[in-house]
Amino acid sequence: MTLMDCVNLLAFIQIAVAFDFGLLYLHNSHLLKSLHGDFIYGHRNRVEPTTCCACDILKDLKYKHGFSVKIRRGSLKRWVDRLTFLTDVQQANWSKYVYLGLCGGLYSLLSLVLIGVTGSSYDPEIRNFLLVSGEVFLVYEFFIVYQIGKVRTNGISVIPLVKKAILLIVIMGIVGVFVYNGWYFKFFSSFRKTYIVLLFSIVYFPIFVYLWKMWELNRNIAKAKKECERWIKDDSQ
Amino acid sequence: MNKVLKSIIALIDDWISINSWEDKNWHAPSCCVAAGDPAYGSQTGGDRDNLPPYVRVNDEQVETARYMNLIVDGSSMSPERISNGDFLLCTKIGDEERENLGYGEHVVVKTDKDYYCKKNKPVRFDYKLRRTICKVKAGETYEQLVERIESENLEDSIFLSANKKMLKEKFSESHKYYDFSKSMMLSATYRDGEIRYSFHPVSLIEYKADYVVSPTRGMNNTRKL
Repeated sequence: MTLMDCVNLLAFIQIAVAFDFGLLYLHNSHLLKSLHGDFIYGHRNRVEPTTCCACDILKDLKYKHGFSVKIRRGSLKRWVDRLTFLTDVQQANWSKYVYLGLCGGLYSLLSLVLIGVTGSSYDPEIRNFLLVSGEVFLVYEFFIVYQIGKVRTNGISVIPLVKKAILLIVIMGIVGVFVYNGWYFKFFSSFRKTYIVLLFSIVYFPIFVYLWKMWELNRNIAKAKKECERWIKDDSQ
Repeated sequence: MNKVLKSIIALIDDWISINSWEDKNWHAPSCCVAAGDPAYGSQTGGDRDNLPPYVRVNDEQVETARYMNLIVDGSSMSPERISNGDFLLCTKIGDEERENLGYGEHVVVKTDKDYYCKKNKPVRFDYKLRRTICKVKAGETYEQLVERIESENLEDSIFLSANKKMLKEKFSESHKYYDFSKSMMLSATYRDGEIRYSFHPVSLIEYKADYVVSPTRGMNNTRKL
């Protein structure tokens, strides 16, 4: 790594630190939250004619009888409810994602200290330490995302966050012991490329999760809208 | 040995699981009402100071201080267009009003701590928000209840067999805990936009929500419920 490369990398890491810790401390006003809100708001405007039409049909169906009418009423109500839920702007909640910010931010700081302050990127032990701890952090971020989907609460409090930060530091310590004793598998021959990819994946992991969430929301809204339109159409036949 | 292993697993879970990343002893302030399950909370609800002294509904001006103000916590009532952080302007209801509650009222129910304790769930909220469907008559069976809901055209969701099955399960579960010879209310809430039914004694209903104030995008949109 040349000196210029090192300077560029440090600048990149500094931006990542600001972004990740920004996600942690600005979770109520972070740019991702506003973008998410705008995204849902746009969808809500687009599906409003469908939901309004479905509600009118539901009112009309109240005075009709028959088994098929009942099924249509139940199904239409179900998909209108789902569509209304999915297009609720207040759903744009990024509190749970602060944990990803904490993870990414800590790894960025670690990189910043090891590469920038000590200038030790040439030391093979430091290189291996950065690679192995990066892999551990990446796995942990995937684990957090898996849990975010399962946990229904959004709350965060400061004390457990400190606890988790201590945990990550302890993990780094354990990784250090493993690397020092050579207890690891060597998969990659090139440090530079592997490290850049790993670093980019860890520190901008929240962005990838964000894009995935948007795609998933888009897909769910499209499905609910399609189902709604299907039951509206069935009714008009 | 088994106990030691369980303790170690619990300790590891406590450190790495996101579940334990929230304060286990957290309890919502009394001004908050759970939109769905009172065992879970978002802790991200609004601030009561943001509620203006007056709100406008059509041509009517409503003084917010004349009502009990509660903040909605959670997105479970989104299909009813009541979102996380919305304000509810509620009135306390007496015994007579409580007995005369009909379909589609948004009510604030006091959380039955013993019930949740029996289900091994923590209670984080004193109140929960529900939309009433109908009162359950004394001695009414599940079949009679469904037939009445269908014949009186009360609830569209009941026409789906999956929802009927869910209602049946909830009915038998509630029967084990509550005395149905007393006045009971069938009400609805939602999870991920899908309806969920619940039964609770009418005596636990404390407030009726009259207005919802949604402070979204710098504006206060008020709606009569």
